[in-house]
Amino acid sequence: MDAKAYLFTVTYIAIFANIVISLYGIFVRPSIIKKIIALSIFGDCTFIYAILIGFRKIEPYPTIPVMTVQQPSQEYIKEFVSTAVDPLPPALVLTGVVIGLATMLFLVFLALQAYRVFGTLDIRKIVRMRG
Amino acid sequence: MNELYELTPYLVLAISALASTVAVYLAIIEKDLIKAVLYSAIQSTFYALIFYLLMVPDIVLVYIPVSVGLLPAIIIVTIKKTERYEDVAGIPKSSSITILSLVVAFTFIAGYLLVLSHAITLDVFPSADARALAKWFLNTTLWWNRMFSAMSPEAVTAIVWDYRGLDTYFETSVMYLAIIGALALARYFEIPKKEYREEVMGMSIIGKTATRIVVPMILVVAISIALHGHLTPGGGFQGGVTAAVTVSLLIFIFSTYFAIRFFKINTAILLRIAGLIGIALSAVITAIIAFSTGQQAYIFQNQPKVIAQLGLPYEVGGNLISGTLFLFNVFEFLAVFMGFAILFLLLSIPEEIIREVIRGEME
Amino acid sequence: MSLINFVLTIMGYTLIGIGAFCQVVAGIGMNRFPNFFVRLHAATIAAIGGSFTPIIGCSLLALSFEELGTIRFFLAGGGFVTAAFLLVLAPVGSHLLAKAAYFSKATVLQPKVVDVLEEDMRRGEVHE
Repeated sequence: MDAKAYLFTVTYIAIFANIVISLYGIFVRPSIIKKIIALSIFGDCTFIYAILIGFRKIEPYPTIPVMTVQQPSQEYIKEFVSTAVDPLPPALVLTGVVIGLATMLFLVFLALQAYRVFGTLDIRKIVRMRG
Repeated sequence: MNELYELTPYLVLAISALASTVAVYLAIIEKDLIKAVLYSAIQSTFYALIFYLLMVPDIVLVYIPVSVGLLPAIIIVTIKKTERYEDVAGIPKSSSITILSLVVAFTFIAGYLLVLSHAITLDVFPSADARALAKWFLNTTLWWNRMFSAMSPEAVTAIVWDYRGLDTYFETSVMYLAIIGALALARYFEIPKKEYREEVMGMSIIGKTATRIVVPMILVVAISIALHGHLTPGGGFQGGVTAAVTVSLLIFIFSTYFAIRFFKINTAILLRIAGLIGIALSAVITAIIAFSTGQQAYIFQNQPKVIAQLGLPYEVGGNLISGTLFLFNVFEFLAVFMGFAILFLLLSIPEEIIREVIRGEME
Repeated sequence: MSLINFVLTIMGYTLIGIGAFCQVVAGIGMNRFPNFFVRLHAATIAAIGGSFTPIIGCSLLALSFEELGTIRFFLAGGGFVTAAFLLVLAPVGSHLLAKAAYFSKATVLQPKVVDVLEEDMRRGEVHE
């Protein structure tokens, strides 16, 4: 395959590796704050996947899905449709990022409450105290 | 030479992805949690570069304030209130290797299925053709025939608020529920009434002067990003999170007792409720007008459709405002800004006051 | 290319080259300096010589690039404003870093020749 496909595959595999490492961090590492950090990294990798699916291979490079004139002619619309990136994935990721932030904030409040009640943030010690 | 120029974006894409993998590995392995937060901020910077190279500037505008500004600030405040180091001794090696192999297998299967979902060609590299749905969105986002169009040159904002407006409505309600949950956990906490003294509290005079100059500029830029969301990349979410950075700046550089002069918690809750009521009203405004005059209309209707012939004006005096998109952006900016202001103020209450409240509750 | 465009292009490339050189020097300095405060000097060189100068160079390059049309003035204007903000705010950041590191005793102060702030604190002119 040519150089562009090779570099794109390298990007895919790097995002794979990110997902593997962040999932390992969520499951194995015992501190609640480390789990929260790894969860936010995992969410970001999923967003990159969604955007990678909507990409296009145009020579020399595709354009953003925003029109630059306010009264477009028919030729402008035709060229816009044939060179612009898919606009649906960024619309989904936009709401996803803000929800992710709100959920992380809520998790942080829960973690603080757990620390005030149990005195530690190590998940193995909390399980032993409650059981 | 021309081929080298054409190859450069893909080269930078691959290098950023590999650098982000290194940063993620260092973040997960690190035992000092503050260094882990900083490594995750480095990973977020590389991801913002990848988002920019993949030609989606709306997400860059929302991703940089969230992942490089707000989230590390929140986690560092949490680390200061709890433990700093992670105790890794005692994890059995066999169970961690089992979990790692299961995760690798799951990721390969899921990743292969995701790669197949390009759905035009069974190839890793996306094809030169877009899906039919994407072509329909791009064709009708600003079109001479008002009945099939959203009348906005920004395709992403039109999808968020017009074509798929119900998704955004439920997303706003999810954020609302998360903030209600956090408020319920902090129901008896109040910021104590303490006098803000300029000399003793906060950082040095250099920091305070620079912040006094920069914070109004940040607010103006945030409002501008929110208001022109239907013309260029921007919108309510982007402006809201950029404005939420000012609250955290005020809390860190001055002190909480200074920030409470401008953002009282109850006022912030009231303004957030006003923003949410504004979003609900903008969603049904076409339906209300239509039902009161005996016509038919949908909710979330922006422009007139074939069987519902009522719609909001798409330009005012020659300037494009795209009907409900403008109103949605303004109210969503208010709701997001005030929501994150509430959470930051509640997070910055000193621990002694909270411990007294909890001790009083548990007895 | 006309004369003005040629001069602007050369100036732009020179400034970007200076920026790259400053970044490399700052990287070497971060590795080899012994102390936190001396490393802060290297970090500020990366922020000003390595970020502010190349942005000014890119703005001058954009001004000279005729194929962009009138957009190049907006690009250059944005670049100059960003560079001005960087110039004002990066020293504030390093000042706050140094202040926090000194007063929280997070770093070791060796090798030390003279500590004027400690003498001022002992005399009572600086508090906190």
